[in-house]
Amino acid sequence: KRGHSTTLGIMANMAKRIDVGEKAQHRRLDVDAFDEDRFIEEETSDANAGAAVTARANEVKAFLNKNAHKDAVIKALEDPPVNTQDANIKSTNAQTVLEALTATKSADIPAIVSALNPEQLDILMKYIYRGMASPEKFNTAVLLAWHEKVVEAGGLGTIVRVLTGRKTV
Amino acid sequence: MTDKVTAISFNKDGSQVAICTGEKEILIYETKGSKKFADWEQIHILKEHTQKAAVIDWNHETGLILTGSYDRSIFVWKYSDEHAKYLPQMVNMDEKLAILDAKWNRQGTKFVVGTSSKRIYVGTYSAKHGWWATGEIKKEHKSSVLAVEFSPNGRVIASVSFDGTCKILSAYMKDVDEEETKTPFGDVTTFGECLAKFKCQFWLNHVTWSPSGDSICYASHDGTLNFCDVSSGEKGKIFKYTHKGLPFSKGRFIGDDKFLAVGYDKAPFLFKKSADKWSLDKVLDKGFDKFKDFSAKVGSKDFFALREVESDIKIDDKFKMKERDTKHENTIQYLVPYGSGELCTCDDNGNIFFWKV
Repeated sequence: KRGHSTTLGIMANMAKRIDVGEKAQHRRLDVDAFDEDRFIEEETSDANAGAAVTARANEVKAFLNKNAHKDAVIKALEDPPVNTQDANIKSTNAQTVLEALTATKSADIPAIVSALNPEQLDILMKYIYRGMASPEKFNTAVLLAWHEKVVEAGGLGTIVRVLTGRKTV
Repeated sequence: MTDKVTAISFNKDGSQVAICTGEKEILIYETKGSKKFADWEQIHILKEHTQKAAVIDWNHETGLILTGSYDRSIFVWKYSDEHAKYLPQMVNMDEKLAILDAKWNRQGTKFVVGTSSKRIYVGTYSAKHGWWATGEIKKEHKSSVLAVEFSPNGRVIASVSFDGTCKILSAYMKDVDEEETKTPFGDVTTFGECLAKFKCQFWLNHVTWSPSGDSICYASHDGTLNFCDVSSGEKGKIFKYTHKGLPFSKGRFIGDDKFLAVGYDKAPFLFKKSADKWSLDKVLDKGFDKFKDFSAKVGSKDFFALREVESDIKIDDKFKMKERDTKHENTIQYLVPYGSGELCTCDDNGNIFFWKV
């Protein structure tokens, strides 16, 4: 009987020996976690972030109700929760900032951007990119208008610092 | 210009230059007083490396050339009068990954090497064996070491790495460091000890010392320059300059109060210090403020004409892409001193330009 030496026979034998599916849990091990030399990122935390974010959201809403767009944007960009690991807090703050940004009329954008200092421009750019990442939720046309004005005022460095910033908003 | 420059270094009076153009060989040219590459005459070829040299350092006191390559090896080249050529001296260094940076101390008696394998080596000449013996500093950095430099008095090293830290490490070698005792760090007598550590948000491209040894400047890839006064160790004040443009790749102090930085913005930026604050004084390249039309060709076709036809995005007719009219058209990767008082920059396209400050 020479069935075992045909190609189909060899393949059938291999299928019996190679562990797949349920028998292959060892293939799901994260081998990099066992490397002693691996680079471990230091994680920061911020216990007060949640309360501050909620308080700020209310203040920004108050400004928007009064149509004080410049004050709303400047307030929203204060103290971004970069240190916390809680994704919900970051989403809430992003919602606050992006509501303030998308409520502003295009004609008012240059005046607001010129009133921001370099740190505020960097934070603003981070939120612009965060907003553009969810086009179904936020109006990207307005965000593009903001993007153009921020690059005019802050240069390409603002984009560099979004790409290289380890602490995300 | 050549095809590409991956490493460059001039001798003391600028009459000769060692260049690696991305090939295995290192070429030495006689500049004959000219600043145009076309006038330079090739006089030597140094053939020992098996991959391109990442760094060349020509020491001005001893005339020795240090070359470090991606082939994991370092050579010290000494000119031999009787053979009328440069002969390699062996460096006893067991390294498994690429060499990223290598520098002499001021007198040319020892060198420091930064590698991809997170290690730093300090080498001195052993007359007994006739080779350069190296001491290893490991466990100080968690990722590749991108730049290393001796302080002016040679007793400590500043090193930066991909993990975002800048460290000041002691590197006292008994036979070599006898006379230098000028402060700061003038009385260091240990080897491999971390004397100060500075952490940054993102990876650091370069670090350099000021001539007095009082301060260092480390450039981060997020477009910042950090000037740090290290005369009092780790508690020194750090002044952070955030750049509006793209990051810097190299920098150099000119005196204690001026700093020249080059990088991805393709032009040299001159910074001046006044009362503890550093600010941008001017851009040395006058074409930086002028704009010219961006033109690029793919084979023989114009880049933008191709995009109009082949892409779904139609570019408006009125839209004209512009770029700055700088001399360098690609990132500046090297900044080296030339002669007395001038600086030379070269980029990935192989263009070499000289600047007077």
